[in-house]
Amino acid sequence: MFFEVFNANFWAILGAALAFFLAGAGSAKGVSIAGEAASGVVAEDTDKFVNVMILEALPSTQGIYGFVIAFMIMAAMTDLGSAITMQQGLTLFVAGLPIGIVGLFSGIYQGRVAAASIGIVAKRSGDMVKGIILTLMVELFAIFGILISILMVGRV
Amino acid sequence: MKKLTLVGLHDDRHRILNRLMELGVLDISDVEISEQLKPLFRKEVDADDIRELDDKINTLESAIKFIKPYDERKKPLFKVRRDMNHHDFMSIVLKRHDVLQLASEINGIREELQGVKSEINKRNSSITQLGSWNALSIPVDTTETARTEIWKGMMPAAADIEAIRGSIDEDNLACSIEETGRDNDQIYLTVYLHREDMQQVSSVLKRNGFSNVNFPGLEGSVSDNISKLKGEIDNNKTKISEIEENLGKMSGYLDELEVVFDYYSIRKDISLTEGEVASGKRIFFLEGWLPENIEEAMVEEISGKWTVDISTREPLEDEEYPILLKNGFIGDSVQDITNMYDVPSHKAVDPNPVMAPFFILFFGLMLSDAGYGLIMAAACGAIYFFVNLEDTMKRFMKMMMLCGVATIFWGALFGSWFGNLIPVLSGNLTMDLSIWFQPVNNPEYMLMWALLFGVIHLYVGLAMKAANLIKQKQYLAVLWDVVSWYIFFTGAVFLVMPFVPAVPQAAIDAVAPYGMYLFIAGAALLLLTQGRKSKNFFGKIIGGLSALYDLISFMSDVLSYSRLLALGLATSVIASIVNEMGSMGGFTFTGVIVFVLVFLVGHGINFALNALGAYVHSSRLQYIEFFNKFYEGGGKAFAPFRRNTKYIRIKD
Repeated sequence: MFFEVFNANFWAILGAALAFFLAGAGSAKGVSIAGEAASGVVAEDTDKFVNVMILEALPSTQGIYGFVIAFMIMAAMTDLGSAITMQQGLTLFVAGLPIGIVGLFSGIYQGRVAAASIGIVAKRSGDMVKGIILTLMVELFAIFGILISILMVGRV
Repeated sequence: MKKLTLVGLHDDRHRILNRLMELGVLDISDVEISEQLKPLFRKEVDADDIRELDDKINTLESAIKFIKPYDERKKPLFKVRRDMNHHDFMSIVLKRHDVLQLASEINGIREELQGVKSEINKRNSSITQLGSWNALSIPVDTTETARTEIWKGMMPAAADIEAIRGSIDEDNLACSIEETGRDNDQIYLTVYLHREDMQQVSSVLKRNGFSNVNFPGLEGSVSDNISKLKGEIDNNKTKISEIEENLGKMSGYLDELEVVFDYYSIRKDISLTEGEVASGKRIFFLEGWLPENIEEAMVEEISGKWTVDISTREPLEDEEYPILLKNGFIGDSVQDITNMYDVPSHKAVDPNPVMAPFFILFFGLMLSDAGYGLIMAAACGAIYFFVNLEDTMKRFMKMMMLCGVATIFWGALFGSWFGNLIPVLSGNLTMDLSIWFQPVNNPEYMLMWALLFGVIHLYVGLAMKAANLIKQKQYLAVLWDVVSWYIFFTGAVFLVMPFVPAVPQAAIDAVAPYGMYLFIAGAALLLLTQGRKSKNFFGKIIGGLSALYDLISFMSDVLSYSRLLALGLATSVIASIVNEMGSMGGFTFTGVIVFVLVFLVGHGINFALNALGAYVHSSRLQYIEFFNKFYEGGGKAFAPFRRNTKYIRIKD
């Protein structure tokens, strides 16, 4: 009974859901942290809108990565069709986790770095690039997350 | 670059500086007066003059800022300074005192407008306050009759009026409480009381949180007062619209304000520079850098007009001089990306021509959709060729156009034209348009290539280091600091190749046996040489060992290039999702409309996000991975003394 309901398709779909849900939540939180800082800067100086907007957008990539993996898992399910085995379903579930979990945390932390970098822009617009580089350091781990997830989906 | 020293007569100083500014080819340095010249020369900064100019500039600036929104002329998409010939410029400058007068007038109007607006606010808040007393039946200024006091006041909404009335009746006090109004927080009360009972009533009311409200300066009924205030607000509003109409007319003078602003900015720059030259009693001298190719023309021009002595010389060894980057069509385009990081040092090779192709190709690889590239190249190309732009904007547009072309290149190789638009439209989802292969179907293969591009990029970075060392004439160091790293890294790459997915077995078999030899040879070379700058024995050993640790950073640098795959895949997967979502409606009338809408919005967002991502990540790969290998910054960009204007460009 248990495995009739929680069958291979369920596990695969759960993997896709977690990949997007966690990474998307991380990005939403990260962008909101950066966005609050950004609004404060724009309130003081409208001319800095474009600069802080770029920094605010940086933590949104985790959500995109989660979206891509969720889609790839579903595409893999379509390819396998009804022939999907329990093992494949569980593998797809696990494949969704790297980008999901890493995306959740890196999104939030990247948002904090982005907010701090917006502080740089508030003082010196010219140093925006330095802020971007600092913010991108966190991004690398989300990139590794999606990469591992892609390779894992490819193995099924 | 050549160093120029100019000695001239004091009386000509202002005119010579003015002419130098018009020529705009000399980077005047803050002159250092040597000990033996100190008794003869000093730097004269005319602080009063500069303060006066600053005042004028500030007046003009705030007037321009204030009046700009009232200017209803159409503004161009890209801000460009207006071209103006010298004659027109001078004819406005002659009227500068009138224009300054106008600017102060405008600032006066601004203050007047603020005053009127705050009057309106004050009246509006009075109206809200009075609104709570709308039901008051007596005039607001009636506070007493012969024997009674009339109090108006508020109590918290939680107070129980009936209970208070009860306790007043119990004590037989001559007092009547009337509820005039009520809102969420307060009850508004009118209290009539006999003067003899004032003390007792007052203490009962105070206990219940009663506070008196007075209406200073008002008389008559509440509604009369409100309508009077409304009338005044209307008057003020008419006044505002009159002022604004007036401002609309005044905005016709915006151009003149801007010209005079620029005129005073120029004057201020000259005054500041006069403080950087050495002035003596009769003569002055200044120093500066100028590009070699215009040296002759400039010397001829100045010495033909004034009595001056000009000498030039090559920079001394170890003397720092400003950098004027001169690059071709492609190298020029990424110059601002490099300068955002740092200006290259005069001791190092200009990295732009080498970095440009990498920046552009990596951008294309990460956006990797021929459809997006086509739009980008066409739009930026059109702006670049046909729109009048400032230099920085023009370079940016050129760079984006080239990035667009690179995006078309990679998109075509990977068969991505707006994602899988063509297969979706033709109904044949398995159609393969790629010239090379589709990364979505074979991400591991793409990963291998991404890492390989990374290795190439890093190796070129090392080659740049060699170029720098050669420029600094440290030929042996090329061997120790570049060649040995090449040997070491190549060995390491060969060793890890079997663990990278999708590497062809033939390649592994071909190189794997040499990996260990190269690795050991390279490691030995580094161990022996990297500590050579250290004085003591332990320093030498530790220097060598810590160099081996750089292998880890090399590996993580290479892995960092996996973003080329991740970002590229993200673009094409999302583009495919957009196409599939759009085509769900089928080939019906509504279906087509839905498709067009989803197509425009979806691809618009996808393009914007991924183009931003490609831009910042491609920059990052240059800054962190590439520049780290060789870059020597800390240079000073060539900043000639010229008319640094904000609104106009003066053509002679």
